[in-house]
Amino acid sequence: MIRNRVLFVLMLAAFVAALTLPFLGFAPNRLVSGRAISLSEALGAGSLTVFLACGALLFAACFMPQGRALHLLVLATALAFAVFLPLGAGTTATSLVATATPIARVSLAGGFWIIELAAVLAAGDALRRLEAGLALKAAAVIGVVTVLVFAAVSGAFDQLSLAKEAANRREAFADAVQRHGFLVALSVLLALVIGLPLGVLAQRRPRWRDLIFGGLDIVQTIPSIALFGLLIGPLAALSDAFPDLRRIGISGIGVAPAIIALVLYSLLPMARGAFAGLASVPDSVVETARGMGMTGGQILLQVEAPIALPVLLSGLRIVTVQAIGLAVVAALIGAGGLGSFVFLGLGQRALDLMLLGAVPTIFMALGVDFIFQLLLGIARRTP
Amino acid sequence: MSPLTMALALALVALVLALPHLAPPMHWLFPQVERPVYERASFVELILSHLGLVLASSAAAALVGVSAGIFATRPSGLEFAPLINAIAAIGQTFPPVAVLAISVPLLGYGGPPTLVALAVYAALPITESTIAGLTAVSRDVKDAAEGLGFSRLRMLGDVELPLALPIILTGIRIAVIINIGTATIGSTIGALTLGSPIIEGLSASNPAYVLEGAVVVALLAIFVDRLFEDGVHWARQRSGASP
Amino acid sequence: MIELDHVVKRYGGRGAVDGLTLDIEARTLCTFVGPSGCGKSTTLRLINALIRPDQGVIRIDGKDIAELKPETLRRGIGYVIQSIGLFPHWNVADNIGTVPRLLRWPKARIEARIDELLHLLRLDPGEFRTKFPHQLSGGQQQRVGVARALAADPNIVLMDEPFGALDPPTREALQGEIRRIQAETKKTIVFVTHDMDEALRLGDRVAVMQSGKLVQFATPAEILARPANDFVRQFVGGADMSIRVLAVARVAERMAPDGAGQGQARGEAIREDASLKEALTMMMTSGRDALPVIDQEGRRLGIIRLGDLAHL
Repeated sequence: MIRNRVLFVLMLAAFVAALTLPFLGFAPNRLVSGRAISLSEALGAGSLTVFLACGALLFAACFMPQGRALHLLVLATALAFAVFLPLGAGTTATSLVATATPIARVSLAGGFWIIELAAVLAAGDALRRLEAGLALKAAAVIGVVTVLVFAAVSGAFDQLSLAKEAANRREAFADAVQRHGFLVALSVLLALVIGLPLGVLAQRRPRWRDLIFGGLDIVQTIPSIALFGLLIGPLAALSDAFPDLRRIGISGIGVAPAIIALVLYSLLPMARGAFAGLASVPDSVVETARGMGMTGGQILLQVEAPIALPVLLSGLRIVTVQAIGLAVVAALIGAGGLGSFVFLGLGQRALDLMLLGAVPTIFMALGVDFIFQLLLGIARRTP
Repeated sequence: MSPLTMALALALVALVLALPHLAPPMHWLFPQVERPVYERASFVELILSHLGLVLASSAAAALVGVSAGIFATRPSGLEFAPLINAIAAIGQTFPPVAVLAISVPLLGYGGPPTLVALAVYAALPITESTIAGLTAVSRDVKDAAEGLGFSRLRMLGDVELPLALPIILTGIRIAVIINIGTATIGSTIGALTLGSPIIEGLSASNPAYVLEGAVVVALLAIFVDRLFEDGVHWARQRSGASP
Repeated sequence: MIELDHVVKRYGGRGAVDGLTLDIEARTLCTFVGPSGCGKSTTLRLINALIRPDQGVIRIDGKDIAELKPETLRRGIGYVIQSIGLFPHWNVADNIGTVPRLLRWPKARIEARIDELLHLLRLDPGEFRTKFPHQLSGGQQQRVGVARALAADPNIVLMDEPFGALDPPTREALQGEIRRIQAETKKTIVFVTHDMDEALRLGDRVAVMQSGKLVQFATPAEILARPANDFVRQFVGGADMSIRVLAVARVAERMAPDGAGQGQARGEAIREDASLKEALTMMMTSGRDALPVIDQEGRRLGIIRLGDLAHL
């Protein structure tokens, strides 16, 4: 009898992926599509035995009587799986490239991603069954990430195509990451400065509420690329009319319209977060705060803001994750960032280059999301 | 349809039909551009192709998302609810453009990969909202329905889904609006959409193309959003919640 | 003293408080009672300037409160409401210390005051100081609410249905605490309730309100004995009224002095400040129809009979 159906489904998916999908792709250079390499071919007999043992253990766990000890064992095994799979892929890549020309490319294929995802989700499911607290969850994530980062720094993944692409364009890549971070940070900061007062205003003055949210709703609805495009004309006209503006970097294309559009998009979730946060403060609390003679400012800062903080943080999380994605599109109007790799790669049909843009933005978004979950967990725990 | 939605629809149709005849004013607006109106495909063609992508992907996503949501709230699927919620939450942190881009190595260039990428991404918010909507149906109502002898299936169809509809519709609305935007970028991987004039205008330094595509797609998105607003309003009234 | 002088407050054209004039004596407990929407809570919120009157003047100790800065005024008035409104992100000590901190008291004095108040409200400081509101029962939360209102030692405390959400035993216990604290600290307390029993039990004087107007303002005994009109009579509660009189009226009001040819009473005596209800209970449990009456020092004063209880 299956006692843990979630784990069973995940292991089944991993098993099917291992048998039917390519684990790695092996191509003689970066422009042609390569040969598929299955899991059994990719891993040496030694590593394969370890993986099969781990897999068998997790499979067996689906049928055993469930309990804390078993969940801990599943957690440890799944985490080990999630760490060793990329390490194994890296090692295989190194040995494969050694047999070929230096421009040969080894890329991670569908099979790898599905097995890795199954391992991560199995670990997550075990954490949930353990009713793990914030500390254990954070420790699991930070542990896995630390090991993988350490392995990456010491060169374990250097022969994977993505790492090669990054190494080939080291400076451009570093610049792009920096520019991407700058676009996101500046727009989120500006959205905070403008959006928070708007949210407070919407909560304090019901008459303004529909106007503020109605307007921002429309902005949020407009597709990002269209909003970028719509800003080009007015900004170009502005910088033509006032040449001084161009000297400080404001023109139809580039960073200025990107920041403006990113801020406009960020205002709605920011203001909504502030509004919902303030609305979550019980009326009775504000009533007694007034009754005790607190001033409006004291009530906002000492009473409402701390109570609203968790909701506000959720809003900020949405804003930041969204901005990371939208900043990709900003590359189309010349704002730079990781999006320039994405669109250059798509245009040149150089998929490794495209992935060099897309994959880091995904990790950036996941990382930011994790940090906010952590902050949110801490904010919720302090009553 | 509310008067505002109707007006937006009329404006959209009028703009799309009028665009081919707008060369003189566009020329006046952008004197440096030789051909100020996009002609590679007609805007009627673009908007139909764009809408086709969005509708097909959203319909598939709604089917998958609502089914997954129903499964996760049935007794047999309850165990999977946290897993499904986790996948939906993690998946939504992926930038939509990145999802579109990484579909290329798996599926190639063109319209169909765009469609699949849109459908996969759109299924996430719909799943999430379906679970949220079905979970929010009050225990009392379900107890009462059970007491009246409703079968499980009738309970779902006659009680749970109608009550959850406003929340499910909110999820579908989010998915469709994201899809309209992401489909626009789909023209960078070879799909024919309203993004085509924008992308071409950007790469060929033709601001007239950019403006035309941007205005039409913005209007389309706002119109569809209003349509959903009307729909959610209607569903709320039907389910007896306060509007 | 709190003086209300022809005070009017309108909401949407309707007078929530409609020409209210009354004086609340210092160091007494005044209850405001009436059906919901009668204007009693509005009156309370007018006194600490949470809302401003459309007409009329409110004076505290002779000073027009319109001329004071509202924050300054409120810091000198304790305020307790039914939903309590403890700050969920602060512990009990921080909650109680709110107004002293606003008034910039020295830290040591605030800490000492917090302990003093926890003792006054019968909460053990060692156990409760560091607890958060969500860790307390409803009754404990309202004890903290009352302590917080008393923190800066205000002369006036306003209480808006403070015990309305509590279960009957907790409620009675806290009513007892309020009487005790009022007797010990001699605060001027204005207490709003929709419960006539609570109003009669707690108030030195009771203000009965209806549709924004003051219907009667008198001692509990007087309200029971001479309700101003049918509304008050009905509100005091038709048939139950005589039972209520027994609870409110004192033995001293009905007794006859010794030597008036009223015969003799023997056995355990009752004090003159006991209620008629207590006298009746003693008669019934001991099977007598008359009790000797004594004063606080135990000196014999006279006699009270079963028949005396029935005279309204």
